[in-house]
Amino acid sequence: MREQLPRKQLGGATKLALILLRVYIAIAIPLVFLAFVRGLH
Amino acid sequence: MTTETEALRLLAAREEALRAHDRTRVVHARRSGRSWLLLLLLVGPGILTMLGENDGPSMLSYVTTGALYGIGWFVPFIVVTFAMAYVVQEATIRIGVATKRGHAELIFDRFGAAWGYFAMLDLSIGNLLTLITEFIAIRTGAAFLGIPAWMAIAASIGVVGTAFATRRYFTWERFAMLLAAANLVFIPIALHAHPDMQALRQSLTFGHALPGGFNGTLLVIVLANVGATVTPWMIFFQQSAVVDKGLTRADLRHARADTAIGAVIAAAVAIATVAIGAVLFAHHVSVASLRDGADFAGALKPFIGGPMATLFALGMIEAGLIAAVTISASSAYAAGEVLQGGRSLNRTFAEGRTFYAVALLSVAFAAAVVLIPNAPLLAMTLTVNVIATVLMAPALLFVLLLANDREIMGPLANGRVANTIGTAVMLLISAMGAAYGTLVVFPHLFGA
Repeated sequence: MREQLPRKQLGGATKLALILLRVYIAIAIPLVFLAFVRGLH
Repeated sequence: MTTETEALRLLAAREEALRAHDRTRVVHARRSGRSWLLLLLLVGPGILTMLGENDGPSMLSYVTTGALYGIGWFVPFIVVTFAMAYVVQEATIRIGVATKRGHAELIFDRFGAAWGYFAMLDLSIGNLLTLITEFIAIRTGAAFLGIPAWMAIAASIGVVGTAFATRRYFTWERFAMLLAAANLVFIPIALHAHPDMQALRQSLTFGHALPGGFNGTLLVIVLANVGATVTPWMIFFQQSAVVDKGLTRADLRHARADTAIGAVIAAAVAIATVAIGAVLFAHHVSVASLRDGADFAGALKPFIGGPMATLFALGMIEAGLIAAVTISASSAYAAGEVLQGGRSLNRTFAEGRTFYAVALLSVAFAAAVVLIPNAPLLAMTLTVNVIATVLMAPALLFVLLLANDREIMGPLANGRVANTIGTAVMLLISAMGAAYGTLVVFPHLFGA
């Protein structure tokens, strides 16, 4: 069984990228839901 | 050592032994200087990724493009999109070779369980819905040939099940490559349709202006073509397949060649399909009522003949089938890696329950949905397009972050040039993906 790699120490740029990603996902999920609802009609 | 740990160690040892057997053949081919045999042994993940992305919805996008705009501006555009796909996929090869870990597993390890589960879940849901569209392509292609839906779907499940029943990565890969080779069927159809070769040559020099100028319809087609070339499953699949195949740094050159060959073949097939659609453009056939593979085969029949229209319908079935094989494998890899339920096609069913269960159940679920009378297939198709495109941004961001992670990548980490090109591709694809997602939900935003 292979070992799990250690967690990455996040730098400033990576932290910022992951925060922006959370914002993006928060917008994207309603968009996906809307697409499904629109398709139903 | 506990009994469970010992059992896991033995399973891993068996998986490694099978991989070592494949690797021995590679080492012998390399030592004996048989370069063609070496290439033949090492190709696979790249070709399967690229041809797997020439799936049912993608072929439909290409034939629609040709029918709407003819041969012109879109031909070089397809070449550019496959070049972008190569840039992304090449990074996944390096990450797989350097870390010996799949994409989902690496995200889980390096960025934490939350991002790991997110990566696995978004991929699995997107793949599940994409699989439904693949079975729609199979069903409609079969309908043109007069084959009942249940029979076509059952036979397709049989083919995908047979691929996984090999329980051997190398055999699975060769089986899938045989299926993928049938994607080339679109090329003889295009040649038979006598495309305007002068227009084709001109188009390759970007000699065509934007057809009809910029408008919403053009934007939708541009974005659909990008979505037909670069999608999240490709990233997860190729990295995991590179690891499962056991590729090493010594194989990098061949792995890159494998991806480049795949990109060239897939682009050629895509261009051929645009040329097939261009037959309808040349005869001023309206595409407004053409919604699926069967519709297009029927519309093409008067111009390319019955046998070629039949071949086109068979091509649509193949496109759905190869994608069902590769996309279900990408879901299985991601779930197996994150849930520690087996991450290799070299495992038996008992050893990789999660792995095989995800692959086979996702295929069975998608197939069953397509057979449900009055199922909201349009809603699902729209949702698939949105999911696939909006989720490219997170997938590409993680590729870039991992490719720059020098602790795990060592000398294979992205250099300045790779970062510049990679970032540009990521921003471009993400912007196009987000725009496509928005357009699907708000179709009149740009006057489409």
